[in-house]
Amino acid sequence: MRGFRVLFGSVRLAIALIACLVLTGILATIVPQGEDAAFYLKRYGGAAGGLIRATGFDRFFSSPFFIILIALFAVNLATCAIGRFLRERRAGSRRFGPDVIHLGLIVLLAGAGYSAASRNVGYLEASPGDSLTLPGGFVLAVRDVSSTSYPDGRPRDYLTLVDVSKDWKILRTGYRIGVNHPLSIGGMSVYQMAYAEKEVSEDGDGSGSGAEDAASLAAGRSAQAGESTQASKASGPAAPALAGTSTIAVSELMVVTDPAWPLVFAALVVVLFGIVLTFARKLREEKP
Amino acid sequence: MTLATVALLLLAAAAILEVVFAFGKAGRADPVSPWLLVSAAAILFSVIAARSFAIGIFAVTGTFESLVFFSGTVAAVAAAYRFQRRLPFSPFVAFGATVASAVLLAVASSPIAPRNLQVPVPALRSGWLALHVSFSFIGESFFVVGFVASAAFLATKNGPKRESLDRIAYTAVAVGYPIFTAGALVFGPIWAEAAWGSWWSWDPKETWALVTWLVYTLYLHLRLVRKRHDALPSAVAGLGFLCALFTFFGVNFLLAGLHSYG
Repeated sequence: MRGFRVLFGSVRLAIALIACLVLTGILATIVPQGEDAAFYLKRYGGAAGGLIRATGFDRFFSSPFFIILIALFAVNLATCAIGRFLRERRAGSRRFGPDVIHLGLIVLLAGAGYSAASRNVGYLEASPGDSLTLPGGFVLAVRDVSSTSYPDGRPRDYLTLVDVSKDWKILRTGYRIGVNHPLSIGGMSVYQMAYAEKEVSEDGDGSGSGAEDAASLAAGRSAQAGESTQASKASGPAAPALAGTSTIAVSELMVVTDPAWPLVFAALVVVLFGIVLTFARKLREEKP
Repeated sequence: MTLATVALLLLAAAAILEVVFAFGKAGRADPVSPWLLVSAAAILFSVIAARSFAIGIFAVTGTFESLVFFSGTVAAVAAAYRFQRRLPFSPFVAFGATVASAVLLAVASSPIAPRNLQVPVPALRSGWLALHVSFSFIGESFFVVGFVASAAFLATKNGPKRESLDRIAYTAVAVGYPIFTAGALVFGPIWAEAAWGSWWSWDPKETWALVTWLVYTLYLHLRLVRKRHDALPSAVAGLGFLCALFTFFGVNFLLAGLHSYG
């Protein structure tokens, strides 16, 4: 037990692990992430490309190497924090700022792991008149989809106006989902991700026949493939047809469930509180 | 002549005065340059205020505004260093911080930072923008002082001078580290959760901000284990500032990601 404490409770190990995180983190921003095998072989050649794939540097932040590094760091943090806390208590010291930081970081790492394992993302298209069913039986009735612009024509905001109901009971009316203004309901958050204007044929079906307006702009990030929630959509009628086609406004909504976010948020606040506590005290003790 | 040019002239005048007094017989601090720094900072902040008023949101959304704001905060921190009485005075640190502020402003006048005022894209229209960006830059402004003091530490062999410079560098990092943490690594993820639905995405800007934070964490831990303050912690503090610079310039111009806004 003492050997474990000496090995994993060492500040020198913490320094080595932090240095390792710095170096690998830098490398992971230099090596493009998430590309296929052919990309790395073409760009870096057979040996280096193969090494990048074998060591997981093509998806570094979800690779076993990174997870082991973070796990070691968490064990080191916990061992250091317990050892330090006991030493300070024995000495009658009240310098608990670093312990608060370490505790916050441990909770943050746990929250990050929980978030990675439990976060669920799905995407929906919404047009006026649509009825979108979300997990848990929540229904979004889309009243309007619109964009606002600056005087020079650049986009200012994208909005989706919805009524929220469950089991035929109205929970919210006229909620404006906008960029930076998600809807939170039943442990889910619904984000406004993008806006487009599509031309649809007279039958009102936008699939296949519509061409997206070239001026439409993504509000945040583009859609990620391979992720889905159990959300479904019932299409509403298109706007009145003009010469065989009509234009409808379409929002891309992202539905996210991340039960770990409150834990992560609390950890971030604790870390910040610990840092302020630590350095306020240190600076106060500095000799003038 | 634009207000930014007036500020650049004030910074240049402050730097000249600092050099003249540093090499003067008495080697004491000049009484005028702190006020020139304050004036330059006030002018630069007024430029940001005017541009913010014009677009209706805190104007740090473009490279030009970001550099002007960063230059202003560095000038303000340099002035604060000159007015305080707890830390020893180092002419090199005063001069270095003033030059850093002037260089940032000169870069703002270069072609890499177009001056045309652009309205923010929808994703940037948030109250978190002001907190996230301003705290990050204020924290990095203290890192500028830490960097200059660390560079001076590495350049001198004089024991008492080294001790003074080490204290200045440590104090600058000790003030900047909590502010930078708040701006980059607390307010940033909270905003990202509200805007993108993901509090952390390993985007190059996020990763480099974390790398910067880890390097300064390394510096603070190295000081714990190396009781005799030798060159290594100072070199790491210098590296930390270079990482902060890369987070701003390198990532903006070399690595595309979620923080790239056209």
